[in-house]
Amino acid sequence: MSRVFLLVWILLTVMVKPSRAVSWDNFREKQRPNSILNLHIYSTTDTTVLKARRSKRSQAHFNSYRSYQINSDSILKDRGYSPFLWVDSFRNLQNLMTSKPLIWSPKILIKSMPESELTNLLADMLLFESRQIWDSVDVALLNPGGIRAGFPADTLRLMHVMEVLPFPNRLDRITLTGGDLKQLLDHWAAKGGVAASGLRMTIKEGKAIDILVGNEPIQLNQSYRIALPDYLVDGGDGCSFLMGRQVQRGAFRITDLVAAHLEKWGSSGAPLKTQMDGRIRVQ
Amino acid sequence: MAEYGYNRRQFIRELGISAGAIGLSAYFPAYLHARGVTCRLSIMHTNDTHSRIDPYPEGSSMAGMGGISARMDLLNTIRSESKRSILLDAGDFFQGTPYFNFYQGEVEIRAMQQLGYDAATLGNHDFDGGMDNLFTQLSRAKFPVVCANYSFGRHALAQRCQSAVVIRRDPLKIGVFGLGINPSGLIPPALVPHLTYVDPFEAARRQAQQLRTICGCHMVICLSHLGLGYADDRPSDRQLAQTVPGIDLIVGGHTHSFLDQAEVYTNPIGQRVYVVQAGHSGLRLGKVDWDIKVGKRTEIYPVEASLISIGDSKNLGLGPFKGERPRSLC
Repeated sequence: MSRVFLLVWILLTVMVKPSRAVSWDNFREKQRPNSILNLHIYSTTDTTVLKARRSKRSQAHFNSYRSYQINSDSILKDRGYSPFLWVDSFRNLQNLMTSKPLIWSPKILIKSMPESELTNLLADMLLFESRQIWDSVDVALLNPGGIRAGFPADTLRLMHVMEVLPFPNRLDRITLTGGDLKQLLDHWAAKGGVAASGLRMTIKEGKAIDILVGNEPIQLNQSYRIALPDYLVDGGDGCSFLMGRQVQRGAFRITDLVAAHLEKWGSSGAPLKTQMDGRIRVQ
Repeated sequence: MAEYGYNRRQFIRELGISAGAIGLSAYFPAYLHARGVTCRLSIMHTNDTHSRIDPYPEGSSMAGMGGISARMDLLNTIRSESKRSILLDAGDFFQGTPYFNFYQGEVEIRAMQQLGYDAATLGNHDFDGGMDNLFTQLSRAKFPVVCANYSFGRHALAQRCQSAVVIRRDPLKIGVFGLGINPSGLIPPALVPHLTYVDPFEAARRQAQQLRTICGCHMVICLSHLGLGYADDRPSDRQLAQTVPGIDLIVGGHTHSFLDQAEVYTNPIGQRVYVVQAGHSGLRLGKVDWDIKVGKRTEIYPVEASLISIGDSKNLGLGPFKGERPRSLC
């Protein structure tokens, strides 16, 4: 009989203890110290805790919640547990800062080569904005590699512009002769296309032919002023032949210029208008 | 006593057996060495993830694909199936989405740590926030960062980066070393004042030899950000495979190439070298399975090399790249 009591007592001590609800103390021990996951769990209880992140007061604040008996599993399951819950706090702050509405886009815009509505739109905006900065600009070019995403059919916000143009490049103006401009266009023709405004051209066997700048055929000895990202001016993306040219450095980032342009455009309530005008053709 | 079905004699007998088993296990590697045992190893790799924390947003041709959560799910599935696995990244984990512009790479590095990367190398975009920032962010993670042909002088990065690392998956020892691309024309010199670039092939030759002879690795992997291949004479993975002996697998990056099948080359001493690359932005997870026979002579047999789609299952059948592939800002 005593053996049976012993067995029951052992069973009770072994089995009952772990089945208790996990308290905050237990829960916090399981997490890595310094893990943001903790922070996020707390923020489900009280959003004000988020503001007090990493301060001594916040620690005191956390301690006041220690008496709660909360089953951590249920919280995580309710929220659709993901091991990357902590990313939410980064994402939320980022979205909060970039949720400024700019303009309504009636359709999805996707980058494609040799030209697309998205690349034409971005280049047109950059040409317009560069003409506000400098007196004369003939052509605006943007490397297609700098365009990393597309626009949704939705209210465009700053976050969308940052998604499309994430690189912190500034817009510069470079002065090239017609021959050098042709070399630059040949370079992009070999890669399949470019976001360009202020010119028309045809790609044939990886070369740019029938180039019109404005409405005039290109003159190899004439000098042209071209608005470009500083990434290209500094020789990026295979444009090392542009290094050491006469250049006016611009003060504005391309992302900011595009966002400002879209905001001005959208402030009257007008929707985004795009066009495919066959400025770059493939033969 | 007998009614409990467990008596003292039985207990002692089982204790003896388990003690014997524990004793035997101490000699296990030696036993393996004598007989030769084949082990399956899965090498998983990504490259050029470019801050793609969330799946591609609506409005791109890859909407819903990629993302670290989906990658974690896939990794968990593979890890539960395979006994030995290694996860590698071939550089350029920074720059590409606003996450990098806002947090300078903190999110990417924390995510990589949580995804369980075993080693990573550095790409040109990883220096976009400067060397100080790269060091700050890398110090949030524990995985080794390998790069054999960059020397950082007296900068703190020299402490964080190493030429090579030996990853142990008993009974295997896998040597991994990294190679970075020539920074001229890709990284603005102002961002990398302390960086010195060394010839990658010389560094690779030295590392492969050291990993083979001194560390006794069964397999040597090169984590390369050189790029798959170029029309001109720049050093590339293809050249590396054909000129440097002692490498079994080259996990590439930089050119954003989707290699659905591994490329096979023969090195100067007649051994086969496999070159793999998994596109970009975490759209694919590369997986290379090997059967490695550990014995007096190590024998390596490739079983399968494949790219697995990550993300929204409705896009899985389509394949995200109809027509031309986005080949951007390498």
